[in-house]
Amino acid sequence: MKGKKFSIVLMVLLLCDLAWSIRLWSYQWPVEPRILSVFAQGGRGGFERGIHILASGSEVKPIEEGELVFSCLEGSSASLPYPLGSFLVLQHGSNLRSLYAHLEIGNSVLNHEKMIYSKSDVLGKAGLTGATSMGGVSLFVFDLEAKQFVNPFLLLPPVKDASRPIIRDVRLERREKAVSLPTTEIVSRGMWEVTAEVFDLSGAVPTFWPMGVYKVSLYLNGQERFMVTMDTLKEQEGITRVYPSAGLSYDQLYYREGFRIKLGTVNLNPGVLNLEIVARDFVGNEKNQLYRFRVE
Amino acid sequence: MNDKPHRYGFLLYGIILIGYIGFFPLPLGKELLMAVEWICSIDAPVSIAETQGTQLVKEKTTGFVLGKTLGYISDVGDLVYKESVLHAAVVAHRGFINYSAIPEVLVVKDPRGNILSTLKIEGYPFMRKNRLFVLSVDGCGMAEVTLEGEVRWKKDFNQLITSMDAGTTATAIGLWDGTLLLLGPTGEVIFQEKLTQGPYSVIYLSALTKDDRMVGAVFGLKPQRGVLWEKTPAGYRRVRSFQLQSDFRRPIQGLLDADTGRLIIEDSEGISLVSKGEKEDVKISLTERIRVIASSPIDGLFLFCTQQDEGYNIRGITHKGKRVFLKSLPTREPFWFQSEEGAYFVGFSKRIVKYRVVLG
Repeated sequence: MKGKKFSIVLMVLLLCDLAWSIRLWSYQWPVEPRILSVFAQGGRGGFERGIHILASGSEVKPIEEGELVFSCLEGSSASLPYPLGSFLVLQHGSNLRSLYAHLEIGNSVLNHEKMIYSKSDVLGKAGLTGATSMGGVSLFVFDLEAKQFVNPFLLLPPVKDASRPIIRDVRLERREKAVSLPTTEIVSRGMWEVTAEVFDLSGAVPTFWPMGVYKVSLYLNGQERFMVTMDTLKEQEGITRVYPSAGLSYDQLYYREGFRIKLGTVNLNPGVLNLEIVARDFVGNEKNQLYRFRVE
Repeated sequence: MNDKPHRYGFLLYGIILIGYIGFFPLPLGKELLMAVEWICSIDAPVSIAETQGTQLVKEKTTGFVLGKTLGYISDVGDLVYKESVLHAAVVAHRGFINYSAIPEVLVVKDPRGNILSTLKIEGYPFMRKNRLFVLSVDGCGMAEVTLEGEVRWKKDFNQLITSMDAGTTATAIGLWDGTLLLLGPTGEVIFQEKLTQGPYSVIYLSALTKDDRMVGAVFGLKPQRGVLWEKTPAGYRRVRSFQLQSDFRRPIQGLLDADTGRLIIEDSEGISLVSKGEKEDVKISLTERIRVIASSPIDGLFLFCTQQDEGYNIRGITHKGKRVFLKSLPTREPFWFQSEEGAYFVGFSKRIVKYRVVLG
């Protein structure tokens, strides 16, 4: 009797899990996910609001069934000259929108012969329209109610990636001095800004192609002093900030170029200190780097 | 006895007279025509005299972009400068920007090709009513810049900009959540309204008169709607709301004319001229695709460039909606049109033609 009850409970749990999985992954990748740039990474003068997927010539499909609400053809006289090239915007339900940029769009889509696109419909081909040198598609997801761009990785099925993020060139900096870690020298006490190059390597191309990470934390003697996760981008008082964890603006988080992240200012007290940086990519691969040095 | 035939005779003469007038009406005046002032081939060599010295830079020239060629033509129709377009180009009287698909620096050159300034701003530049703007790489930010390289304002909206227009100092910006913003000379928000139409809140057209007096917008779907606002001492006040037959899911061609206060927009069946008063609205049926809408205050006309399979048409209509001329140009892409102080510059078939509207 007990065994039977246990089986029923197990069955119900499995069904719930299955339903949850289906709900979670009701979204699909528009093309095979060969990721070149990720959400909220340091971009051209600001946060990247979407992700760019290498997929030249591939058919692009909606992430979920949706209705066409906006389209733009590169070179169209009524349109603004979008660096996004030719693109489409689909509305999913009442709050979510997805945008597919740098497409080659066919006439049937342009003439609005179809308004509702199912997951098997083709929106266009990943192309080279607009400001892109790597043929592919840029995907943006926007929450209308919260007025924020959402990290597409939070909705889409996980991708395969075994490589861990890279943390390098960690520095302690203040006005007239910089100390590179690891160091054998004794660091002066007081306030120091910690910066580091933190990035993940794209597996989409055989060359060195850095891209952003999902989460970065800084621990000092085991205590968390800084943490940022790239979930959403929201405007607050005219400035776009990354949420939910830190609410940092682009200038507060990044140096203008590259993948150098500002990990905050710490007060170093005399003694032996453990400074640890932990970075996690969008798949969940984690890398931690521990530095031990003396402060006097 | 003899009266009846006379009566029938008068009746017959009357019918014949009415028929004659009907079939052969007296001309009531001369017709408006587009007369050619000059033709300039863009394949022609650049005028040598024009390329020497800097004095001629001050001479009035007209810039053009036709297909993959940009250039300047003097007031008498000589080609004074040309170069190949990289990805796209913006031309103005005082200079141009020829930019690549991924521009890191925008180089401003004068009409002779000499560098005027450089703009370290990422995005694609464009002109609206002689003001220069740069749309950011992801389409969510915009800056107003000058040809001298000065950034007047720069704003990030964290939303896709779906439409915009410029007045003298104000700038109207439509966002994809249905928000219409009116920015002042330094980019400050001077007016804002959220236009909702069910879940489909996209601004498909933002329009601003050149004197900043009136603002117009078309937004939403099922049905698509429009609004006109007028400036009052207390701010911008809604003066008209209207419903459209269209269901465009793309940017809509439109123009808000300062002289008449009319919003001229493409509709699903042609053109709609929308006024503050509903009774003054005019609909013009057109089967062709509308490419350009322009206003010519000097001639008191609205002009439409339309495209069909056989080529392009330029149509002129009066402010009351009466069709006054039609110029057919049997040409395919590329095509370029610019209206300026009563002159109409049309680029097609590797030539630029300057027209004026005359009575003929």
